[in-house]
Amino acid sequence: MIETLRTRLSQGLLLLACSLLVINLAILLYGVFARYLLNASPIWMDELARYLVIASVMLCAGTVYLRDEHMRVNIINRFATGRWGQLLALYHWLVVLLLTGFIAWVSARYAISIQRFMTPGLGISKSIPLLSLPIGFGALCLLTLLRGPVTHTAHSTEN
Amino acid sequence: MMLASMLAAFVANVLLGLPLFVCLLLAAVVGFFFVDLSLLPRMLPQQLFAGIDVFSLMAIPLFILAGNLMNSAGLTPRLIDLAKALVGHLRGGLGYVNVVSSVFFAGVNGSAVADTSALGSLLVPAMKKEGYSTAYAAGLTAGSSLIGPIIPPSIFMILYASLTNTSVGDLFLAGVIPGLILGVAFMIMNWAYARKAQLAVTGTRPTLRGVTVALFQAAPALMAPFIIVAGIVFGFVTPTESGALIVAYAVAAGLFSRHLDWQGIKSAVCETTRLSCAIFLIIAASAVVSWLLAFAQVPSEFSVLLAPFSDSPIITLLLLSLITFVTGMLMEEVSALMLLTPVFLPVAMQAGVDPVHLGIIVTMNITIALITPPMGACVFVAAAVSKLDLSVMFRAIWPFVLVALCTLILLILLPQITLFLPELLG
Amino acid sequence: SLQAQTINLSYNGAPDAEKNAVHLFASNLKKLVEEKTGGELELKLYPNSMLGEEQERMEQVMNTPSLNIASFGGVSPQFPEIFVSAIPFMFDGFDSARDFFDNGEYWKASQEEFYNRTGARILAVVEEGGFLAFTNNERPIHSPADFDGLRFRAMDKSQVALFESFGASGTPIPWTEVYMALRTGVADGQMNPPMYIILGSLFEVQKYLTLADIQYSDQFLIGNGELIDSLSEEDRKALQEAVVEANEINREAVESQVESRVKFLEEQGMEVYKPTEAELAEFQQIGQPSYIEWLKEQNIDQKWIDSALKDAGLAQ
Ligand code: NA
Ligand code: NA
Repeated sequence: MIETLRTRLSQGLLLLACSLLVINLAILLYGVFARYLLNASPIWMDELARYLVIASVMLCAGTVYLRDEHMRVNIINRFATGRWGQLLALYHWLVVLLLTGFIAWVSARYAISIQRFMTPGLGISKSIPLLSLPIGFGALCLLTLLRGPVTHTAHSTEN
Repeated sequence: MMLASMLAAFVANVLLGLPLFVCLLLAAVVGFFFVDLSLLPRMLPQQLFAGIDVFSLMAIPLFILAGNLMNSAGLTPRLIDLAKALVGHLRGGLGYVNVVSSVFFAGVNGSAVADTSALGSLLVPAMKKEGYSTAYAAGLTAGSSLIGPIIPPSIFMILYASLTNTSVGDLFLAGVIPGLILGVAFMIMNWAYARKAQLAVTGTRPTLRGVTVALFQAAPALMAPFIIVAGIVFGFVTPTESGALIVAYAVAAGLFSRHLDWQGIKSAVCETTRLSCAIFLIIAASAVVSWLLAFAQVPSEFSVLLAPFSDSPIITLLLLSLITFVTGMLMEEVSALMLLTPVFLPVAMQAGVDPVHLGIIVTMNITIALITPPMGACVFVAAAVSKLDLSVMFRAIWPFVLVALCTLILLILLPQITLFLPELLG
Repeated sequence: SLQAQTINLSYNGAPDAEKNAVHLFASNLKKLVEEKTGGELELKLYPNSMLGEEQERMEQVMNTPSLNIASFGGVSPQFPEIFVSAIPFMFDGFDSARDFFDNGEYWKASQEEFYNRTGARILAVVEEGGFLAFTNNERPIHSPADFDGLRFRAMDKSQVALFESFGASGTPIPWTEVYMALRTGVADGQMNPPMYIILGSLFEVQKYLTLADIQYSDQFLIGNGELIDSLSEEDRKALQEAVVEANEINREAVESQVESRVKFLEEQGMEVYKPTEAELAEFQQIGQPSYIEWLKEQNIDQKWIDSALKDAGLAQ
């Protein structure tokens, strides 16, 4: 039950992240096209490209974590087996859970606090692109919680 | 005290195997305790976001995607066929191909990271098949990708120029010869490796017919760099846009040759998204650390230390390089460049260093930082695209760092190498 | 007292007083403040946007006890009415521009409104590089007609509006990519004061320079409201005096450097053109209404525009 939820959420986020990247590509191509064929490219283009990429990378942070594809150094994990391994897994779980939860919380508050800032290109509230931080870290926190303090072996879970 | 505590938190957690971006964020939280904890709730999210809210960074996923698509479209084997036809009869042929294509790619983009990801995903699997160790193949890819930001165009040089009022044109010209020298240095290294590893000589001497056929087969892949070069150097698009164009080209070429299908596109996009996520989170987290260092005025403490050495340009440059090397080990490169350049410039000017020469030395240093553990973006990318454990990668990269450092010292001792072209043409 | 209070001052550009007028101002302000308060107030300088880009620094100055020198990019998200002060071809020289800010009604109201919205105070208008000039690589620009079909790098939407009114187009390119874009023809031209044309080595890739005095080039010293209010009467007065004196030094330096900078650009091979009175009037007639139209599209109240034009002596 929990596993299904976790897999669904993780795959959904990745799908969303991929779509944002593809949209970003389309927008950059449209920008080049517009500059040469319409002789003017929209002023909001590079801003939108940036926000899409940021949203994309933030949204799939949790998925990438479950797949153990975030860069890390794998030295102690090899020697820590048995009880020590479980302890290390618990430490990882707690640190990631607490830190990402904390960042999700402060960045949500921060995003709301800058509501009145308008972006220069799109003219939208700066809160909107910034919400990708709490959503991304929140998802990372939630997925970590759903996975539980299990040993994180390379390229093992969730495909 | 603040630095020591941050470093301790960072190193301890790196060793415990936590993801690097988590280690950086933990170090940042520790740093905020020393600076002013009340700043954390605003500055941490602000800098996390600002660190990746940079247009030129958007080229990274695009070049990764282009490389992945070329892979999915099955262009890698054709490129390898051509390489075999040309230099396959040499011992260590694919290693040379790796370096030469880095030179080729260097004229295409200004970011070594994009280079590593594009070439790495193309060449590392092939080199493995030819009997190279994965570690060497990944190391050579990361190492030779350093040529990318040295040969123009270069994002680092544009940043340096904007900070120091130096001519971008002169810097670009100045980078050409050092970039080629770096290429030659890696080829010599490959020659030595190929002999030592007793790589089999697999191919036969090239025939004209063989080369022509291979060239024709590989044309779609070879066209790609030409499109980018034409786009940027002769002028239609910015580097980020050229990334988008090359992706479009890769899709078109792949579909046209019927080697790319919907499934291939999907998996290329999916892989790119995940790899980009891993890279961007580190960039974002190190931006927070960089901000803390700047806030604590760590950079200006350096300049006080350097003042006594201001009568010799060579000693000054060696010292600056040493500082960059150490900083670059721990920091994200663009921020290291932004922090160090303003500190370095007055010191170097006082010692009588040409600002263009300083620009190339700084660029070279920052570039070397890309492959220096524990915080080198190219090392991470090379390890990721080669599916290699980071600790193995960290050990494998040192010979390449050494070769790059030797080249750097040569450039410091002989400023003429750097200044020849700008003085001739500038 | 023994306890010195340290205030952070952040700004953009290199810490080089020769090349960066903003640093000249910041370093003079530091010196003067410390002299005048006998070291009770200390300024810590953060050049090169070390603490963040425009919007980040604006947030910092609104929320932490600090000072910041902001450009239009920093001020406008909070106070888009700032764009009214950049109506093109509004000033016929340094004196009228300075008078506009020193004595005008528009600027007085702006300072109040900015404080109401952000809780931060605009303490000074820092002069940085003289007036903006056009550069391009296609043909000499003498009048608006010469813009036809050219593609200009635009920094923001207001610049797009200006270029479009002349029959050119605007394309957004970040400052770090401007050199390459101009070299390769992604854009044909751009506008900046001579200081920035030199700073970005743009003279290497641009042939024609038109000194059309488009806009006054300025940035804004912003102070956190609570910080200013918390200072003792004495210190606040010392800070205010220091700001005025540092600003005076900047104005003299900027004005004296304008000619030498243009001469430098000429020596580097740029073809310099100074439009005639009639040509400038033509720029004004075409450029101003379209820019004002754009201001209205930004939902900027007409009263700001009227007040600014009146201060500049341009009221109908
Ligand atoms: Na390269
Ligand atoms: Na490094």
